[in-house]
Amino acid sequence: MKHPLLRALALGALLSLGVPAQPIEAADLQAAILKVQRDAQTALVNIQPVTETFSRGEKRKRSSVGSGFLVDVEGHIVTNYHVAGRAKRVMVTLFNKERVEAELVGEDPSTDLAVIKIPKELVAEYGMKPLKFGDSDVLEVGEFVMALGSPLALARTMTFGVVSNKDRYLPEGMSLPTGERTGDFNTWIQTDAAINPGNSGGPLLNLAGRVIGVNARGAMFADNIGFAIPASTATVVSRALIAQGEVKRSYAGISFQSLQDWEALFGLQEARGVLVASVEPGGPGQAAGIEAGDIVLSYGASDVTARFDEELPGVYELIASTPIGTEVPLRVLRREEQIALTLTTVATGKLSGEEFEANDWGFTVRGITDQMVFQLELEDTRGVVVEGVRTGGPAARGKLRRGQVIVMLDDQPVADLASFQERYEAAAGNGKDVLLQVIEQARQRLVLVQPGDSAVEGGK
Amino acid sequence: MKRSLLLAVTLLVGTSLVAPSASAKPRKKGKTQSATAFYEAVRPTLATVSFSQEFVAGGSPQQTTSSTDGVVISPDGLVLISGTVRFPQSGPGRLRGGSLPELSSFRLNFSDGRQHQAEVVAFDSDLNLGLLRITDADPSKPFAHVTFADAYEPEIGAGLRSMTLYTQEYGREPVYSPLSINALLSTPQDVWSLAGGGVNLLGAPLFNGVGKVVGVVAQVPMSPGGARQVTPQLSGPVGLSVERFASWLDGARAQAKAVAKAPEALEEAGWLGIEFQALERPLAKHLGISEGGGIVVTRVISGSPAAVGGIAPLDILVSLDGARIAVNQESDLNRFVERVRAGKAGDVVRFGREARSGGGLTEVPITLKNSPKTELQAERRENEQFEITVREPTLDVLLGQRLPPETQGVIVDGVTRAGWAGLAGLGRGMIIQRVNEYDVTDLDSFEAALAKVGEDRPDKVLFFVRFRRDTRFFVAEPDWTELDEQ
Repeated sequence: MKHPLLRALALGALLSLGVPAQPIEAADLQAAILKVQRDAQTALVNIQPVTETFSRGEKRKRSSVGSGFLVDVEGHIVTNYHVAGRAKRVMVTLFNKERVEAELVGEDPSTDLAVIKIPKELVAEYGMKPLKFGDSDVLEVGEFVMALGSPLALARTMTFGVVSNKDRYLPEGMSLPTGERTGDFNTWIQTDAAINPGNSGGPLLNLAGRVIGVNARGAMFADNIGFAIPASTATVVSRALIAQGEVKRSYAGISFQSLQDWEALFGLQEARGVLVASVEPGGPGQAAGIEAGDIVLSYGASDVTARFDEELPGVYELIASTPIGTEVPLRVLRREEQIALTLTTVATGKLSGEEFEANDWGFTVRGITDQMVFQLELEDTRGVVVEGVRTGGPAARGKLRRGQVIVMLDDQPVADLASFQERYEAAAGNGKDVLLQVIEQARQRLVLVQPGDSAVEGGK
Repeated sequence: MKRSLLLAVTLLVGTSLVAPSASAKPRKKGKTQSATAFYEAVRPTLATVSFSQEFVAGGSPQQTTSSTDGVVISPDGLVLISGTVRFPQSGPGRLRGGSLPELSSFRLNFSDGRQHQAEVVAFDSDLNLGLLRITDADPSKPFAHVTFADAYEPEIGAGLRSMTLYTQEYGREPVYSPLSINALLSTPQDVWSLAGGGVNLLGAPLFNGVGKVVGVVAQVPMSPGGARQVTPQLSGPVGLSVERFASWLDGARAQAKAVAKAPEALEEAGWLGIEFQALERPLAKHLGISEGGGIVVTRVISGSPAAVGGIAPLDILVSLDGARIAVNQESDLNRFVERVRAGKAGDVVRFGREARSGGGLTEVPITLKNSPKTELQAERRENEQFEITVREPTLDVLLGQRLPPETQGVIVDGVTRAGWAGLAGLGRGMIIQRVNEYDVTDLDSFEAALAKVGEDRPDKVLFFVRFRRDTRFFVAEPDWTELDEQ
């Protein structure tokens, strides 16, 4: 359409299409937005956590900015795990610009949520009104929404848009900056209300002023493609975090695929059930006798079906919400034959272990959890994994590398992080050489760390 | 740098370290050759070798024509070339992503206008050398050829020369001009280094001051970050030690006599099946191991000669056939690799294994086996309907995915993105283990499965695939009518 006249015509067509059948009074919408803003403003906080990060072999302090919102008169504030999780100190700026210190109540990397708390007296004193969660299951695409938060640290910012998609499936295997796997248990609300770094942890509100999502991610190199954790997930998780400081989940060691319209290939008359794609060696699924290619038709009392990817998070959530250690009867279709199996779930446990800096030796390590064994393709939880090696330090000179697992220290086994820490603390400062036996991709190597030469490091 | 005997599988057939075309007489300090004499002597021995090559890359067959330098090394027309011609896509050291090219139609152009046909006698993908034989030689007219130095006496600062044919296209007939290059030996290692020249020098002989060949330009290092970076001025081409070079050449020449054309035979190699690290001096001292160097075994491939012979991870090996393994740092590892490669399948090599803290030496005899195929050498099959190329599983790939060596199936080598297999989501590196109800254990069963599918013409074809520890299903939806339209 190079001709200017044609272009003008096309534009005109678009404009005429844009006129709704029953015009909304602009004033009504404006009034609704203003009401939401006025009702929500006292609940909104700007969060400035100080976290310890272990990067390049050293422990460092890092500060960042995120958002959060008050959910009860006790002073509980919901935010993202990637904002306040693992924080050593959390400072919060309230709506009235007062700064207070908050404490970390609980964190859940699997859904990227965390809860912090400010003194309840302040809630009363400043007249802060908690926000209420709405029902994200009844959302409609096109509903007006507002995001509140501190994009790029610009506190008390409101942006406006619509629900662009109510059950966006983001592919499996997403991980947080701290390395934990996340997003397996929920789909996402996609919105064009601008979400930028710093919006994380802030509420996504509907016109009724209810929180329908927790803003968490934005698409990079895109305009106005933001994602919020739906209220259905945030409600359950924040309740658990407030009540017990963590979310306990069952784990089955099975990964699923949606069945699509492949039922005939698996001997089904109709498309129901969920396809087992992979079974973790040594996991509960394998112990139950489940195989790749099985179709799970029911889990306990519930029938399960995942024809489309968007339904997979629901299946994982169903398993996760089973009380740990439950014996769950399964109906499974295998080669056109129905069989009954029993799955005993285990606790998911922590996604990743604590970190520790062996400063004298010039590296940092992380404890190994059950979940890390599969992710890192390890044999067991024995040892500690090297997180970072300080450039030019003793460990770097001995060719220790990130990702190697230290299993022996001076010919004595390193069982876990605590035993490593104990051995380090006993030896730190004595300047003696340390012999590490490490495992790297099924190879076993010897690494000699010579802290005695550390005078060389860094020059004068 | 870690060296893996597993991946570095090529082996020298010859075991002699005597340089060819050179007598065993002690080397005389010859008179330095003048630049003019050098030019006149070498010019008639140099040829530009052009050839065509067919290979599979990214799953599809490709054909290119290329040229490289060659130098005549015997009166009956043996020609040495750079093995780099075998890796048109990726270059030595980065061999993933393609099959070994089939080379054909070798034509030699000399700077004086002579033209000859040649055929491949041998290739060594690790040394990066190839040997051709001129097939249309006139036995009554022996070729001018270069001769080899008989010893390796690297001396930093020693003058080196090289020559390459520079091709200029004037009108229809190219002109091949000899280009003489002077350089200095820059490093004390088993490498020669000279300034400038770049990739054009690959395959060019390196001469010492008295006009004897001491190496061949086998690699041109690129600065980190890849080929887009400018090669640093002072790194330049790198050659091979005379020992390593000569022993390969010995074998290649023997090969030339024995077989008319069996390039793959040289790829068969003795194999130990271990990976290792250098026993650096501080580590040796800490462990109480005798001075002189050695290696620490880091991995033993199950079922390999080393495993059968009882070598275990963390064993410290200090001698090979009675001689010290003089590896004190990572850059020494090549020397050990070369020594092991001097053996061949069936040979018994004897390692000395030293126990820590003066615990004494045990002798460990190992019988070498033929090395397993690598990804590069794997047999490939193409299915035109599904637009997929697969290859047989090779040990290097299976171990890379941390799968047991006995894992069955076929590995996806490449797919056409919008082809049936590509649209299903199949991708490079995945291991196909089942197609519909048919188990896939090898290339033949894969072909048979797809043949049956082709007869049945179902709407959907299910592929069961493994990648590392994960498995997954992919479904292709073939449009069989496409085939009828053709």
